[in-house]
Amino acid sequence: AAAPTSLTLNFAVPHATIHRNATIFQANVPAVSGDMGILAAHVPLVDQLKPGIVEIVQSAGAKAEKYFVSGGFVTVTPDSIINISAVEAAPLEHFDLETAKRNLDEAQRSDSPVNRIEAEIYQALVTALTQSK
Amino acid sequence: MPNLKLIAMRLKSVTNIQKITQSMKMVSAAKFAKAERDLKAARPLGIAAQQFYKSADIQSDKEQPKEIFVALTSDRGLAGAVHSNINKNIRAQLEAKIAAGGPSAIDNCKIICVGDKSRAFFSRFFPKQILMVGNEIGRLPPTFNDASKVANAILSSGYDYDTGKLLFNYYKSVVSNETTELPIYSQELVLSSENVSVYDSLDADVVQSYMEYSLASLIYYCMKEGATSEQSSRMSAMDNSSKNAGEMIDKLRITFNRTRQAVITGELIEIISGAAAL
Repeated sequence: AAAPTSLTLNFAVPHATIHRNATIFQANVPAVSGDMGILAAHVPLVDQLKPGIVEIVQSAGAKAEKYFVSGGFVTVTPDSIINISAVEAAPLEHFDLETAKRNLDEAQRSDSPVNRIEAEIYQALVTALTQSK
Repeated sequence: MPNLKLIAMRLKSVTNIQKITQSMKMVSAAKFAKAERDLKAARPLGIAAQQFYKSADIQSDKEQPKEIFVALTSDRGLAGAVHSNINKNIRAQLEAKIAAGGPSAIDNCKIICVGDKSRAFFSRFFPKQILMVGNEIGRLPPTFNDASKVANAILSSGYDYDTGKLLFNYYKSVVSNETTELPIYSQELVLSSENVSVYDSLDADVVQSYMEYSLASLIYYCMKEGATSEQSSRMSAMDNSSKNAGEMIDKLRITFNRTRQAVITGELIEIISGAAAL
């Protein structure tokens, strides 16, 4: 069969669907093994996502939509369907840098496992927000 | 002739029942509207979670694989046939195994009862197969957190299953839902399947994390479907109940009036025959 030439995206969180069967050009995901860009006919893979930015580029040269995800999984099937499944995700513009910094300081104050995970997520959020300024 | 007072008491109690079932129907209708909205959002997540396993097409090659059945019911009854459909489905599957291979054929099968309704059923019929029970289900709409707890309990149960089935009611419409099963697999089975080796950079760690996450997603999806089916089924059941109660009230009123008139006629006859005797 000919290699598929388009990338079909399903991007969902438990309580909402962000993209469903959307044809896109490229997706950049923050995988645990490293940030990767996925285009059409990418090799099939399954990878865990660390907290960070998922960028969706609808067509070549278009501006990327940025979403901050708290973590989750990305799978690419052999027929060029990419599924991004996150526990929580929201457009980057919806986040406030000052509140994120404040929450990061609070989370870093104690060392319980919950706080460490919170700190990791807020750190990624603060980095993402400062980089996008 | 039945006592006038008895009929009056019965009339009052049936009227109360009608009021109660009416209000239960209203409450269910409100919960159903919310559940259906949540389901619309959750369905793509469920479909995406199933896609990996569907395209991997994993088969177990053991003769008697260790199986678990996860019965996703809830604690609350008066919901029509939803809970009994799931329970009977599992019982039929277990009985088919017994018919094929004798009573020891189900030693490898365990049941995880999510919700009191399945627990009550299986502790009567298959008490030895119950592995775990979960309750406090059904009061509030299911969240991803609840699903993660169930997934965690399954994975840390210590029971080394090869394959499993999630049983739930797939919501088709307000008046119809269908008992469906979704397959779940163990980690060794996924890793040893040939279609899975096509995936790049897949090591045991990633598979384990992915399986934990997708199990929680699948359970979340099944819980959402189940909740919607349950609320719509309860809505119809309570609606039928109120209609039946209404019919009974009409019949009882007629009987009450006839009895009242018969009593009055009886008194008149007594008075007239008494006067005639003088």
